[in-house]
Amino acid sequence: MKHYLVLFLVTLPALALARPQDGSTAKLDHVVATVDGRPIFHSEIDEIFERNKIDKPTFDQTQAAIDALIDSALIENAAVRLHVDVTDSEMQQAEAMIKAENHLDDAGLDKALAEQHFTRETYRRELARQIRMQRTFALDAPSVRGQVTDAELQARYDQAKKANPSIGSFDSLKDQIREAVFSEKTAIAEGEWVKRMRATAHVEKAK
Amino acid sequence: MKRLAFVLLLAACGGNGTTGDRPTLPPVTTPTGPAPEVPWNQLEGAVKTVTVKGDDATQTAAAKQMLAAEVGKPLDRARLRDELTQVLGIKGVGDVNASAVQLADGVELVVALVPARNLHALTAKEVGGQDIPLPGLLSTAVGLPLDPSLLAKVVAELRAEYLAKGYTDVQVAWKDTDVGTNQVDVSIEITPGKATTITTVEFKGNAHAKKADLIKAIAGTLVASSPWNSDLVDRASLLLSAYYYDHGFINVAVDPPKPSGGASPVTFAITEGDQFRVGKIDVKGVPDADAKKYLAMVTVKKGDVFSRKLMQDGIVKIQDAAKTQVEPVTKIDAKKKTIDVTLDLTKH
Repeated sequence: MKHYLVLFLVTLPALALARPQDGSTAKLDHVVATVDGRPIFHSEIDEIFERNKIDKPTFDQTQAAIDALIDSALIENAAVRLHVDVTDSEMQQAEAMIKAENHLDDAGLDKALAEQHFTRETYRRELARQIRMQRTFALDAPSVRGQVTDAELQARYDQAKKANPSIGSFDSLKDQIREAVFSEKTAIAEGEWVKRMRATAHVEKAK
Repeated sequence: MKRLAFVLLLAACGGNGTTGDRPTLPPVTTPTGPAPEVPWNQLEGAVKTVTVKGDDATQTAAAKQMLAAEVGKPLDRARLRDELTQVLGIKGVGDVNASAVQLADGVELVVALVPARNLHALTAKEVGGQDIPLPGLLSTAVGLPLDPSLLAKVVAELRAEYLAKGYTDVQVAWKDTDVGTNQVDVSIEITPGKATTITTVEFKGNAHAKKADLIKAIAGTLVASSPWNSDLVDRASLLLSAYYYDHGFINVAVDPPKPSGGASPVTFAITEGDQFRVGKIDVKGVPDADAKKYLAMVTVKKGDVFSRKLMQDGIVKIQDAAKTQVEPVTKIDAKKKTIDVTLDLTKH
């Protein structure tokens, strides 16, 4: 009896780790939506959830992920239309900068990426996508990028000073405030730009 | 799996009826019924073969060629996506579905092609208006598989036509309706909105620049009595900013005007900010004699009104002469309204 029990206990974990039996099938991928003909695949949604460590996404989370991918596809389509691309040497420079800023060597970068469910290859793709996005936005909507006036800076400073009287002088914080306001305005402008593109795109979600 | 576990459980309970000291394993049984479905990342081994399922031999052959590079590699859905996107570009392919099968010595990649629906009828019209002639691109599309990328091009073409007439809010969309077996009707709908015409070009807030100079700065973009063109308005905004940057107003903000939906002036609201002058200029990273030579190539001097263009022209000249990149480092003194510029040649 004891022998059997040992055998059973030893066999169970082994079974759990065994490769699937021959003939087992797995779904790999399918199209969940198209944006002016550009497909969005289910695996892209899976990757978003993996990176955000969401095991069981809700319906709303899934819809939000699809929407984010649709926005990304709109930008990629605009990049193609405007012939925006990123060269290999630009990618190498960007990667070198990221390593330097984060004090990482190649192995360190690979480790950090793996924690985010990225391989070097998939990360390069993501990096290239982000660079293309910035360039496309700059080309397609140049005048809507955040512009910051002195009056806006002063107003923002006054607001911050009221909330926290111990902050430094206006002059000492001016550049910092300018950067923050510029980023905010640019983000809003980018959102509006994507919204405008979406209004004119043909987006089809799989039934 | 459940069946096998059950057999093991029987064994653990001595349920096989044997009484000897040595355990005897129950006979190995082969599970019957369909093979289980497992998560894709549990499959083991590299892609051994690629199978493409589809009704059209030309399409399947083309798809197989596009997927051939998968053989010998472990499954990678990011890479596969690129290949599936190519497959979707094959004429007549409407959708794809990828799956995999565990083999004894690897994985079989299976891609099923779904045929595109055929275009049965095609119309284009303004919403609430009459039919409009179809662009030439679509003249032979009826009867062929629906091609979303072709429709996207036509939509872009129609939109551009309306934008050129000042319809800045034009919406062009296509809708499809299934009719019969694998047939689809497509209607392109245009909602033009209101057209805007520029009567005159005006400026607000230009305390330090004459209207005539600003009009000259945006020459070649906006013309009075012409349809509104958002691209040209954007370009004019950039040219106005550039004008101010070249006249020392480094914090200028130009608020691009919005179309009014009728005949009206286009008015640029300008917040000029302070005017800055050049403070100290020096060249770093080369011997003194070279620094002096390069400095002479910059036509703006200390005390001059700052000009981005003149500074840029000088930098280009230095780069040509020194055969290296120049990094301009600026230090702005908001109180003195000066900009110190160091042209750094050391980093490259």
